[in-house]
Amino acid sequence: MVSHSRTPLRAHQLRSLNQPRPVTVRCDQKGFPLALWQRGAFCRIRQIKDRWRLDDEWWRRPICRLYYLVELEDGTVETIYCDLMIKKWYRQRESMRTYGGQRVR
Amino acid sequence: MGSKVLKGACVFVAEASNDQKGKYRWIASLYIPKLPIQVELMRRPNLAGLPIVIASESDFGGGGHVAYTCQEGEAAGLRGGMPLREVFALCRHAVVLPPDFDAYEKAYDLILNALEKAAPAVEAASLGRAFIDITGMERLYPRMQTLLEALLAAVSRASSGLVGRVGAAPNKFVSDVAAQTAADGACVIVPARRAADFLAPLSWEYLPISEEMKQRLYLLGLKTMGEIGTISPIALEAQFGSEGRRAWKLARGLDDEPVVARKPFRPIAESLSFPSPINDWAAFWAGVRELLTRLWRRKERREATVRQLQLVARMEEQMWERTLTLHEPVGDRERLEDILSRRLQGTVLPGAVSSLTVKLTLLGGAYVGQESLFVSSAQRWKRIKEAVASIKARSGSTGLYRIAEVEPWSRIPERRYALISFDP
Repeated sequence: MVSHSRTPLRAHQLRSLNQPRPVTVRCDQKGFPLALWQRGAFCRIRQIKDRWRLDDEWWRRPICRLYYLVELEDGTVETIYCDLMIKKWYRQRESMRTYGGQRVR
Repeated sequence: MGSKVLKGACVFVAEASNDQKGKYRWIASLYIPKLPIQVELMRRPNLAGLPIVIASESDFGGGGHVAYTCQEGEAAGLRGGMPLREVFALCRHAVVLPPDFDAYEKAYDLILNALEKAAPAVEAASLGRAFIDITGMERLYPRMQTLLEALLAAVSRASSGLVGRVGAAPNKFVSDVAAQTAADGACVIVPARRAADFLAPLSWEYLPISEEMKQRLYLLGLKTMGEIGTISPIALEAQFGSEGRRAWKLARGLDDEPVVARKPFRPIAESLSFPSPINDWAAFWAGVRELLTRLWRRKERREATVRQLQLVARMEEQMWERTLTLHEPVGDRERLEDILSRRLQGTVLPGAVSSLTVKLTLLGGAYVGQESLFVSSAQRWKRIKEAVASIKARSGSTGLYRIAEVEPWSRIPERRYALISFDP
């Protein structure tokens, strides 16, 4: 058995990276994103390039997210997700290819 | 012609023949081994024969290191850089002394002044080391040996008995190595054509190279400068960059660095008279800061760094004086203020101060903020550590973070990596 090193964990010194940031999204009736609020105005979404779902931690505080990889009108590509538990939108850097979420048809 | 070695006061790798005189550059190197130890022994002769250690800091409780130790200390296993707490474990009878850098610098300065009277150009290399350009001077003496003995005698007279070693060679590196290999109070002469042969059997430890390169040379199984000299300079440059090329040249006894003579310097001073005598430390410190600001504007200082400064406070009936020698030249006024505030912490003024003078008594080279493109990673890392330590001393934390893997396998993006406080 490995003995306890007695070094304090200092968890308060940890700053999580890639935290999701809230974003305002205009959606259609089916819940698909249409426009994204950025720099003081809504920017239309030209194309939804990819969509996947992430479900995890059902045993404690369930995480249920629907990610969208969208191409905006100005040509930029963003990853946004809808937290299905609280129905709020967030922006976060992520790729389905990297961590294999479940593709949604 | 084989090398001629004479036992006694002076060792010759080969005597400079008359036809060589005046043909080549001649550089003498003075090496005073363990100058601080010698200075302490002159002050306290009763410590002779004991394992003496000079600490890196005056406050032993602060976890200092061994700055210098004598031969007896080395025989007991003590080494420079060793933590002080290990000293008594290795050597119960060790005598640990606080450092007196002012006294060591003063002794060194006296030696340089004496050498400047004897020779036209003297370069101060480091504490206890100096280069003297003696080109042409050999004509004034019947033999090179007589000239070097005259230099040693001048050093001994100026320092009231410090023992030095002298080497003479056509360049700085070879003369420095010659001085280091000489016996105490003796000299070694290496003419130009014998320089490579002289260096060949010696260890590459004499080369001024980075720890990283030393480590790699050790792993390559190289032991002597002769072995390095036989390697292709292109191969060395490919492996070690410009440092490799320079090491190859030095190992073959080639060094074209000139002797850079000290410039005569008159202390720069600024004074301040208080309208009414002050007894308050805050007001005194404000006065010191004001004088430093004025000194920084003085044209004579130009871009030079400060190595030593003196504070003089006049009181009604007495005078308070404090000379501070800095461990390294400081080119930034705010940094100098930080150092002064630390060094003067706890100082009690003996009375009400009516006037205050700050003198810059020793300046160094220009402050250069631009870094070389070709510094080794070890040097770069050392500088980063110094800068971080300075930031931490000022603000209480380093303000730096590093990315650490927390759960890199996690499907939840924000769980994978985190920033944690970084303190090298």
